[in-house]
Amino acid sequence: MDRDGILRIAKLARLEIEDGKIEKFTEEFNKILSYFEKLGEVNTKDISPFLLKNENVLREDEVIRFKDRDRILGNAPDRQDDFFKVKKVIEE
Amino acid sequence: MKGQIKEKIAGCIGKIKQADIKIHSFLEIFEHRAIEKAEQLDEKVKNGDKQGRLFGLPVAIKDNIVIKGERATCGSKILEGFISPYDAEVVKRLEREDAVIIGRTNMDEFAFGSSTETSAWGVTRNPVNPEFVPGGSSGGSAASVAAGFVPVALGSDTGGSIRQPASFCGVCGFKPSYGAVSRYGLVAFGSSLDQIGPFAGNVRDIKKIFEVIRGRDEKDETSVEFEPVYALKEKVVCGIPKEYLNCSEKVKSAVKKTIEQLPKNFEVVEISLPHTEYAVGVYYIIAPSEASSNLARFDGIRYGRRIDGSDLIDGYFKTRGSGFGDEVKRRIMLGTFALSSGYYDAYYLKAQKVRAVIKRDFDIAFKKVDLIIGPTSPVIAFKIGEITDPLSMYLQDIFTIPANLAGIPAISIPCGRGEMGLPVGFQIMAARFNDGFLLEAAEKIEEAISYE
Repeated sequence: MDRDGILRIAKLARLEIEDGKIEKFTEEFNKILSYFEKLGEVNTKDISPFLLKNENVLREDEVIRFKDRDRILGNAPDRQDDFFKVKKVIEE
Repeated sequence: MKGQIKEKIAGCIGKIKQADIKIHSFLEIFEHRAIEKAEQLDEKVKNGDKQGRLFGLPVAIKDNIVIKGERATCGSKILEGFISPYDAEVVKRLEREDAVIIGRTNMDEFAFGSSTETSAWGVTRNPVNPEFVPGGSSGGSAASVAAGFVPVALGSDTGGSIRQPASFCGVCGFKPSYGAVSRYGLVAFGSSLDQIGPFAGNVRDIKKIFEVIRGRDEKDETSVEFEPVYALKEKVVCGIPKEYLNCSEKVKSAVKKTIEQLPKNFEVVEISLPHTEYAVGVYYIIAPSEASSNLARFDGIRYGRRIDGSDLIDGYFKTRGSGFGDEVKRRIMLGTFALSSGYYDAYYLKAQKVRAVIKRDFDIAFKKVDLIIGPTSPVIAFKIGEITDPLSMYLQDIFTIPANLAGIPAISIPCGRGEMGLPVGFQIMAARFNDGFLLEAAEKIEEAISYE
């Protein structure tokens, strides 16, 4: 993984990384990735991926109204009436 | 007349205010809330009303478990200003039994760490020796109990975040079976690994809290109702994995002494968990993968910090870039990478397969033994600032991670002291949903051993 690779991952994850830290991030990332190579020693040819429970849990999709709407909206960094306010998404 | 409970709680808060300056186990004391609750409890006494099972018991709560009307930050700037609109299920259950919630405790940012050094609000110090870390990520909760501020505290454990700090601070810390306790209201980190559990000075108090918080909750679909059986067998077979003796000399000798002092009906046999050495690699692929997805919700739109950018997307970059610390960014990126197209099979899928192999090791072992015993951590508490390399920090979790990967219950109890009087923890694991048996055995072991 090189500097560009790190920047590509950071972009996918929507993370701004300070310029001065990219090199150190890259170095540590590579160290961790090479540690992961150890897993290649384990033969997993006929092994199914881990599952704690081999069945789906289903329920009705019912709407339950939250009583304290204002407590939720009160956390909004920016709001207008009963809406969370964000920067314009659609081009004019 | 001043009520007895109010006096007790006021005393507890006074002690924290005075002595926690040196430890920094609490991020906030809920003075108003705690005193108000204490007054209600005194009123109950006066009226002769029925008293809950935890009547007047002060409890500290890790900063990633939400309480209605209170702040919760997960040790992160990105949740600055957030006030929870609802109670976590465990908080509801504690308060229903008349426990008094005293405050929220410090933690590694988003529980990513093993030392409580990555908190955005400063480090917590080990009450045994303030130059050393308390362990992590639930370091604040462990320290609050070890310092004698509160008798019990809640933490969360994804790869050892309850047991390792319990071990470093010299208290008991219990990670229940996956599914035993509802995680509703616990800020999600690694959803296939996370469990909430208690810290206490002794196993009896651990049991008392576990009995209150455990059980099915329809708001956490992974939670399960089961009846723990608090009973032992005539002969208890304990397996000591030979892979778990790869630890520091002081830890090894404390663990060996503990094994020599086990109750008479405990038989010890050597076993093997042959894939132990792969647990850290598996964990640091799976946990960051789950975290990268869980932490996508922190975008500055509905709560917490927002830094505006040139457009909506740029705002995400700025909000997350300034709100998250370096370790959080690193883990999100590791997870994003492991799940990204072209790498998924080699990393995430491979890790899930090796996880199945590790789980199989335990299944085989529990056919022969009732308990698996050994050290909680390969080392005792290290100095603040001593470990700076991320991978070296990850390797601290080698003995605690396997229980999370397999979904089994595990407890750490104090078993000795190493250099500078720093505590050593003894870990006991049992098969999934044998939580009652495990706690019963831990209590017997706690009674049988002496050190110093």
